[in-house]
Amino acid sequence: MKEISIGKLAYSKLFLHLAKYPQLSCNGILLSKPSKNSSVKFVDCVPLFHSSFTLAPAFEIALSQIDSYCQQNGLVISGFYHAFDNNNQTEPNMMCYKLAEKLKENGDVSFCLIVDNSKINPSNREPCFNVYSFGDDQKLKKFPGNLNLEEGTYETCEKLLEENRFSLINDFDNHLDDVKKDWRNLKLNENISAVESLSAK
Amino acid sequence: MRFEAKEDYHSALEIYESILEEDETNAHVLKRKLVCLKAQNRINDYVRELNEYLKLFQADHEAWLELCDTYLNEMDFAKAAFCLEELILMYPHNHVYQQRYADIKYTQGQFDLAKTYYLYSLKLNPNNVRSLYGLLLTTANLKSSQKTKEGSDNTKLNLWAREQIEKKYNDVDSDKNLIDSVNSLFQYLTIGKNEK
Repeated sequence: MKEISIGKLAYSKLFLHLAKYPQLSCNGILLSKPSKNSSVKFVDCVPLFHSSFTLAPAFEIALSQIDSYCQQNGLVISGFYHAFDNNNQTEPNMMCYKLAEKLKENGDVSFCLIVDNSKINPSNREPCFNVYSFGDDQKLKKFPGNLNLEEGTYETCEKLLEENRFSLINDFDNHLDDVKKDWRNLKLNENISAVESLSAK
Repeated sequence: MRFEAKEDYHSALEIYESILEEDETNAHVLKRKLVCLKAQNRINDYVRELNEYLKLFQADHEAWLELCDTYLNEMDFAKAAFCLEELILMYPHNHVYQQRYADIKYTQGQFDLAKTYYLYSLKLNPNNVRSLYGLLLTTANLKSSQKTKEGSDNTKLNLWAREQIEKKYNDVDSDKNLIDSVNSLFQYLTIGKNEK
């Protein structure tokens, strides 16, 4: 049975993206290191869009650039996350299905993390999403395995929220509006690491 | 609205209905009714009521945009395109609507039309990066079906779009890795001079 884990950096960036656009749907891509055993660890994430998710051009550009970024850093695209703007929607829809299908075509694994809006606040101390995986049977099913979070993740998120760091994250939509905004969020990665070291016990 | 915040939509709707009995054309209340439907995820009802609202208030561009976004979420691109057509008729000089219409046409696979609208958008605003990328994508996708003068036009447009995008990245001093990512994209999308 597969196990998946999510690193502090990936979870924090996902969280900041949701915090920046609380009134809109958000989605993004999850990256992991390629592994030979059956476990998957998401080490980074790239926030993609907060509007017009079903339009192809921006998506194609984003995925190409992320692919290249993965090659530069030895990562693979292994899943995506999506948060609906409607509080009560927690099941993946047709668009999620199509995206999961597309990722599976181009990679070994395809996970879909659907954010549960009632659990986003890190004080809940539980992951804010439900995990679905796209299997060889072409179906998107709830993932039955274990989900592990890196220690200190929730504390880091709380600190980032207190310090209003969510305005620093840039998604691909921001990048397309202003090329200066880096969708890789390299500076933010450093900031998050700095917060980690402060909150480490 | 207090009832809405408490998710007691039934009570909220009763209040709105009573206000509308006195004044059927109260746009603000009509919109609140629509929002109640959206919050309850009753998308079919929401779309139907929004269409009715737009029959009364055809000039409300925010409502047209909202309807367009709703159709896009339901992946009904033809109807989303119709909404944008209304917007373009109202605001023909808005480069964003032209570019978004082109995005929809591209998603539908109508690359010719998408290219035309990306070009309109760039004529209005040559700095629209989404349109530049869109032009790059459409000319690259059209390359295999054109061997005539149009083919060579596509090549020129493709190269021009590439140069403009490169210039944008260089102007903001992007670091090497980002530029490499963009370049690898270009290799995939550029039409070579020796194409058949």
